[in-house]
Amino acid sequence: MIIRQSIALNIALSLAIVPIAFADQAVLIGGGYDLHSSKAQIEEDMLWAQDSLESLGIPTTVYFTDGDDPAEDVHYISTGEEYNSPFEAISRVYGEHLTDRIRSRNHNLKNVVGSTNAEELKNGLSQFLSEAEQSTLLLFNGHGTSSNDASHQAGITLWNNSNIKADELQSVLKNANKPIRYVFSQCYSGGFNSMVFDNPTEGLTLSGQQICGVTASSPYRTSEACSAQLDGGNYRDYATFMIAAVSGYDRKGEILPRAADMDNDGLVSLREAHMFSMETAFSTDIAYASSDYYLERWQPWYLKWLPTPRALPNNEFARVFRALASEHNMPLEGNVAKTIRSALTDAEQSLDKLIETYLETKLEQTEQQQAIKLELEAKWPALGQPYTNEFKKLISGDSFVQISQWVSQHSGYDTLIELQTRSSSLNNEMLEAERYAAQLEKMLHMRKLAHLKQQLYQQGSSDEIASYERLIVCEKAPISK
Amino acid sequence: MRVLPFIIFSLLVGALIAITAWPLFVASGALLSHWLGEGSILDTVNTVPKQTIIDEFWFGYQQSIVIAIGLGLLAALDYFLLSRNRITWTIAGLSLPLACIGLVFGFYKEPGPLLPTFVMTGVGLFILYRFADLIGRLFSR
Repeated sequence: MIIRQSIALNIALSLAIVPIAFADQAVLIGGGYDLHSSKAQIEEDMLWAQDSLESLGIPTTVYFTDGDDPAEDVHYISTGEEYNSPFEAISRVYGEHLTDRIRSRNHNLKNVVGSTNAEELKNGLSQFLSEAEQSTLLLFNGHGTSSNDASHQAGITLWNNSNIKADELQSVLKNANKPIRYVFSQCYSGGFNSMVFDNPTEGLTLSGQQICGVTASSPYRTSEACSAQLDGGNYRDYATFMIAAVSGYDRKGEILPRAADMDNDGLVSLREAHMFSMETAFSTDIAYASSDYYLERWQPWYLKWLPTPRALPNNEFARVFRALASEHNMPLEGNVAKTIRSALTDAEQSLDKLIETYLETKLEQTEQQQAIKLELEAKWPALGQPYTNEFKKLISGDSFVQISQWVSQHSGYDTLIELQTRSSSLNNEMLEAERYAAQLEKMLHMRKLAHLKQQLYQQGSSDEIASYERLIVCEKAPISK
Repeated sequence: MRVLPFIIFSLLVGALIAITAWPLFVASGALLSHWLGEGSILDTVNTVPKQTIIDEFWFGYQQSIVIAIGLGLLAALDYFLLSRNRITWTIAGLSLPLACIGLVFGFYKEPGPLLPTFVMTGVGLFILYRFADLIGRLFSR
């Protein structure tokens, strides 16, 4: 009888501690502010996020650029034989080698319920959240704006060049009756962490509603999302790392080397996904969870200017730091922080050199283009006078193919191809160098957070510690069902 | 030196200490952070707009004003009582580093790691105090 009661109690207890699914539904918001800024990579990442979330049983609702308008709203580079254009040589002289492959089309996302036009999005979201009977995961994938004066004035740039600032979005989210978690990957997204506070501008009192999240950067830093390209593949926005951590597969469909579920409870929380992404993401992002933002906002004036001890406290940030240091062969003995800072200076100097070489190559490229253009326009003067009748006649006939052939046989054309290939490869090298520098900065950031957390528990009041822990509890709710 | 001018000069020394206490504290913290390679300020300088850093510095100045005035009054009293006598002059100003050490133990729950910055600030204030004393003596001749 006693054994039975004990089993029943255990079952009851285990049922009571089954976590409520973190995201019962997801709202994906994304795209550029106009056709030109609405790169295909944003759409590609959103499609992947949508598929991954739905395969986890989380229904999605999408707000994307112009909504369900069939007009073109995605800008991409076409590949494949059908686009082997005879005009490549001309586009190399008048632009870049991929210029004549740029195309536009309508998006391919499912469940698009509206446009991201600021007013439409605010109204749509308000209504959606007020009617929501489940917790919501809010994902934004697009562009952001900064405000050096006040971090809560950071914004997201939306369709038709409209904008929603962090404090405006906070007012919209207040319509929700259920918990909200957000993952924002745009530049300066850290400013949106101010939404977790009752007063976004000052104070440490948390908002009455349950809201927390992760952003790809601080309020003052750009993110990898800013480097979104047209040709896909190389751009790694933070949300994709988060989704990969939850689904167990990366964007290419490869299984992750290990699970993000650190406490082995079979569920991946927002916090676990964030810590896993911090550890494994080789990108330019230095992400912030809302609790990290709380720690920075909490740090009182009398601690802000003080040095921190060399020995790292034993917490989750220190663990991520050690993993990053080991991954990037950073020796842990001696004065680690100084070693990292020195490596960072070297990395920044290498990056500066790369930028310098890139600019020189670009200049050479422009000069080479100019030289070919001069000869070209001497032979076909209408080329230098676009929008004229002569130009119209030229492009409507077969002359363009002849011109392109003439260019491809020009003595300087091979040099131009070489310069364009070199500048493109330098561009990739710069991105890699930036990513490496970001790993070093991330290590320092993790050390800073490790110390900050210890400072809070040593010097903070019990109310301050309770607020921090409330955010941690919110972040620890699982994403996957 | 007569009593009234001496009181006035003591108060001037106190004002100097009160005004410079916070900047010296920040400078000590930044210098030690640089030497040790670790401290919030090192990361802040590279990641936060300069204006925000200036605002935070100014905010700290305002918040610390009561403590700075306390240190200033202590310096004035110390100067008034100890600097006129050749024997007591040798220890004049030492109350400042001692007060700084007292502050770290009274103000922080975990004073150990913070002690060096406070000692350095105290020593900095002591040097300033002695410098003011030297100037005062030069002008009183």
